[in-house]
Amino acid sequence: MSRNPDASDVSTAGIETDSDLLARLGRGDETAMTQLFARYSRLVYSVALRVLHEPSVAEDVMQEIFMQIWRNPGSFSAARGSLGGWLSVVARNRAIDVLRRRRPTDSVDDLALAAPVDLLATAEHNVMLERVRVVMAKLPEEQRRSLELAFFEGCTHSEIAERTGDPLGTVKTRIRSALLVLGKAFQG
Amino acid sequence: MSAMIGHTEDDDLLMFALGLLTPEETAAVSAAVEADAGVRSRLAAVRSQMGAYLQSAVVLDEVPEQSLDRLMGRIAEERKVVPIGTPVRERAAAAAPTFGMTRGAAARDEAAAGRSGRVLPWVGWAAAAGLAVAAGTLYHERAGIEAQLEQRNGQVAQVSNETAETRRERDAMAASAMEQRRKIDELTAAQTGAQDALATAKQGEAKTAAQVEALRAEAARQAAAASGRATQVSQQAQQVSQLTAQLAAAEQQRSALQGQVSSQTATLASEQAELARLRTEAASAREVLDALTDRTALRVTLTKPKGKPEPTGRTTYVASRGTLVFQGNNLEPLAANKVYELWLLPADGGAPVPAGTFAPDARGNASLVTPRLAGAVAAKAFAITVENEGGATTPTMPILLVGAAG
Repeated sequence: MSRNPDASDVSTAGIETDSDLLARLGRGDETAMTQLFARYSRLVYSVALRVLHEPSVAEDVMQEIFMQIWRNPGSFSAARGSLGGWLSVVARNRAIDVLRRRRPTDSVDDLALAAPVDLLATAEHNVMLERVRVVMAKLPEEQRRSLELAFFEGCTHSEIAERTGDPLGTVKTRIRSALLVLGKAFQG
Repeated sequence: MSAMIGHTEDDDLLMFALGLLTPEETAAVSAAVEADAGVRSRLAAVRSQMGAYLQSAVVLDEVPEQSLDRLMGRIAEERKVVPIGTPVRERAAAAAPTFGMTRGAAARDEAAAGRSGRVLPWVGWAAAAGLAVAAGTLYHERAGIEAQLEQRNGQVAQVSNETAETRRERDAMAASAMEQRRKIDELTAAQTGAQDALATAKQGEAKTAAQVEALRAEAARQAAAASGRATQVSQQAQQVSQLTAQLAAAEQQRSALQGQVSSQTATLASEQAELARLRTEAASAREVLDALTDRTALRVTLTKPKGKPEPTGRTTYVASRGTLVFQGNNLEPLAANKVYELWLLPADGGAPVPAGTFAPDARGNASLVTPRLAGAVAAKAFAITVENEGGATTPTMPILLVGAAG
């Protein structure tokens, strides 16, 4: 679990799936919460910290997300995607909201992820994450930088153009190319 | 961005999902997502990619301490305050429109009041009608309230059911907790057992280690002893080697001395032999001299019966000593392989005894000295014959010279 805090990791697959945990949460089982926290707290916290750079604020974001899962465990349908991916997107968006001091833009319920891979196909899922990691490492520096600015600093196209001094069209092309590469890696 | 409604690019969906579009743009994409199932599924795919990107881009940090405790504390508190959770709030919201009806009735009252103000003759009826309306309204309100009450009762029943359900769940959870407690106890017992076994194993290990240590010490002691013996053997071997070397040197010396002794012995022997020879020679010479000077020596001159110059020979013989000296003159030369031989003719008439061979010189002179004649006997005569070289044991005729003792 050290590298890919994914529910479908081989070491935990034999114990209980994310869907099982969420189902137990739905029945008010607090031990399921403890297990879910063990699986995903580091991922959620780390994404938030990457955006906010303040441990206490990042922890607040993490606490809020886990409280929302507790209050409404049905908001995520495990059949539709990876809980790790969903939680990291939620963590990023909440953290950006906090960064910009505004109300949450989207509710947890809205975030449904596509599921191009079967959640139970654990090895395949991990291979995909590794593939994404490799592809991202090979990305040209300016493309990677543009993605990071959008993801972790919440910069819009024009803000990125302002920060990098590049034309808006160039910035859009970069993000589009990076996304294309990402999509290909994601689909294998 | 207006193009997005008709044709929304994935990167626009990304910025939308990241919340990085302007309100206008956001509205446009939202509309597209609402309207188009294809756009919806693409948005979901983009969100999946975002998740994958975030998981691959983020380095995992450890969450702050007590985070889990804080979370579980909040959950426990929320359970206490709102035991049944959100459904009540939802039901309250759902019930709200019922109160809206009251506001509608009030509005109708105002309208009725306005009408009564304008048409005075109808005031009494109107008032009655108003009262009737009010009564009707009240009736409706009562009915509404009754309905609400009914609903509340239903809710209460439901709540009781839910409470019962919650209680069952709580009991089930308690049972589950008991079961877990029991498992923990079992595990603890097993762990204690394992620890005991481990302790025993450790003791055994320590004992074994002590034995090993003792064996090791013994082995070390034996090794030391062996080493000492080896040193002794080595020293002895060295001594033996030294002694052997000394022995060899001594042997060499002895051999050298033996050589010296042997060579000295040989020298001594040869000197002794020489001395003996000299002594014999000296004795012989004295005997010859004695014979020549002896007054008792027989002296005979022998001559050829005919012819001239006459060969002659003179023999001097001492029979008691066996010493004989012969001198010849005018002797005829001989062939190369011939010698003259002198014969002693015994007085007792025995066979002639050879008394030596000789050859004359160029003038025909010869001399023969025999210090000790073998088989020396008294002689009656001497004779000379010619024999083959080396001499003969019996005289060969003719006799060239002869002389009788006289």
